Amino acid sequence: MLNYDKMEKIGEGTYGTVFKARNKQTGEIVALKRVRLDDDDEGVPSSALREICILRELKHRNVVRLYDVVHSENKLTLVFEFCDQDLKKFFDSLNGYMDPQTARSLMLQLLRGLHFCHAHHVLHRDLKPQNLLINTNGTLKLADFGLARAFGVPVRCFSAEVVTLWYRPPDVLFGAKLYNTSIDMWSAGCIFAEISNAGRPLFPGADVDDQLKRIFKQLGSPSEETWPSIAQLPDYKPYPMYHQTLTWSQIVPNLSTRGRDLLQKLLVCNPTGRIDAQTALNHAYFADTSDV
Amino acid sequence: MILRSKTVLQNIWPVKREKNPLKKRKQNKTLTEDGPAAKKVFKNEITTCTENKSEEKKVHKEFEFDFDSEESQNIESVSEYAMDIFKYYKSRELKFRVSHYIPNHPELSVKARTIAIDWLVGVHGKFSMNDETLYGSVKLMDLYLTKTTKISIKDLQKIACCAFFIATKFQERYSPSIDDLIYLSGDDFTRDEFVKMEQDMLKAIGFDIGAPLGCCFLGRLARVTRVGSFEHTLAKYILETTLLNYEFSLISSSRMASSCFMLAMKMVNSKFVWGDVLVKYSGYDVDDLKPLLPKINHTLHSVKKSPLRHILDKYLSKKFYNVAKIAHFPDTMAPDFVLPEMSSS
Repeated sequence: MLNYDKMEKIGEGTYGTVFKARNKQTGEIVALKRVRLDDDDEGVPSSALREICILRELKHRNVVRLYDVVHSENKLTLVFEFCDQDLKKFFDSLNGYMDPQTARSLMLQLLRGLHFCHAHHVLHRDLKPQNLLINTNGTLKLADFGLARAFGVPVRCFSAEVVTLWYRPPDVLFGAKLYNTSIDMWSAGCIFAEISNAGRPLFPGADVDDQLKRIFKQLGSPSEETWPSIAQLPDYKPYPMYHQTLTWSQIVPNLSTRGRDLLQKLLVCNPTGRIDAQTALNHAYFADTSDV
Repeated sequence: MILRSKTVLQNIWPVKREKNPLKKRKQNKTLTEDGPAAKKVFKNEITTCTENKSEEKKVHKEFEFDFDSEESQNIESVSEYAMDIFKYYKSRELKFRVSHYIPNHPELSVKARTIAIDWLVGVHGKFSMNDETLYGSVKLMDLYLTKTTKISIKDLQKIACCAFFIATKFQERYSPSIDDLIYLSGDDFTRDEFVKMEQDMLKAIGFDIGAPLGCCFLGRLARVTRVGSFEHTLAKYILETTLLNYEFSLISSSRMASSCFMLAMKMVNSKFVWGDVLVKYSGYDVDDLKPLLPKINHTLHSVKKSPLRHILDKYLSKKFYNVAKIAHFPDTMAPDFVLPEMSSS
């Protein structure tokens, strides 16, 4: 890469390594994601191809900006805007307390970015604190679109092997291949609780079964009454009714009543009942700044 | 893999391992006028047409309604965002406009393009892939040829194949391997050449793979009118045949989809009216679409006479409700007919 001075490695994306770098001409700091292309590979990996195509379409304040793509013989380099840290690192700097104003601002920005993606036919499919970047101004940006895909209307069946376990919705945990924008809304709910608890994950399951148990212990196990098509999901098995040990105000003590209401509208097991990003943005939680 | 079998290979590309199949096939007559025989068939096929009358009633309902709000319990409908997404698709059509590129490529011809597309349809069918992949491949190929000049006829098959490869990566859960594609193309190019082609193509189109596609617009119209599978499949047949016609590649996908939908509905029921619901969800009035109908109908007649039969054979099959057997409107197109958008551009 002639135009950039590589600085340090900052992480690993879904595919490829990410470096911090400086533009030799302008001095601007950028993030470079490098994808190696080997001779025996199948050309450009589909994850890279999708991420590039999708990010070229999505230009929004709350979506990481892809500046350029440099395609050379044996590697592909994606040039991104640089952000100082991700949400996970931001949590680490908080010492266990999240200011309610900041929590609300982060959630608002997450939903704005998400609404933009969804209205532009894109599912992120891997929302988690590590994939949300935060710059020095406190602007949050959705990043790592390596698992993202454009969807049509009606949606087709996609892969069920998406979203990191802790942020994966119950329908996908039961093997659902037919899902829509609601897949990201569940993740947004998990992240909302995690934000308000300054980085304590809401459902840190060990495996799929444990993940579902944790979810149902808090939300109640779904039945065909609350979720009519549940029995048709590929990996469905019934779970017993668990006794709810903690109330919502114990789970998310820093969240206002309105905040808890929004959280519960995001964390709905039946995907058709889950709130969408646009409706969530109009929720009273974001309207009243005195009630935090 | 099944694709390696001789018979399958011959279905896709009739002459096995031909060095330059496009050149040879060029000599075949593709577009011919209808003779008296066609009129005879037309008469017989009227019966096929009337058999499907039971399904057409639904089409006529003309009331102001909100399709998406009726679909809120249906995951696949993405009802909250469907309207936004189709508005977005339409807003992006201009960006993906195909220009009149044939003059920029002295070795290429309209016929060579048609042969390449027919081949694409064959490959697409063998892999049982989604409609979006086929329409996406055609669009990528046309866009690549829009952005380049002086492409050699020898490279056309590689370009078509590469467009298909990229479209599968974007649309499908699994892509065919490069080696399979090379084999299917009769070793027309090497692995290195193909990988290089992929780079060239992605660079030329600037990684903009997500063009709004005709099949998506068509699917929307079929859903909002809640027509049956027969009508939807017939409209798909018509729209797919228009892919073969270079002139139609210059017209926006949404307009093509709407026109083909209208023709299909008229073929099923000649009294069909393009009502408020269709105006609302297509964004087109009758007058925007009507001028295209004779030419589309002409293409349908041409396909029946053409040796390039991938689309026709597909839609003559039972799986596709034999829709290609339906009675066609007589071909009324004047020989000097020029498409409205062609004459203005």
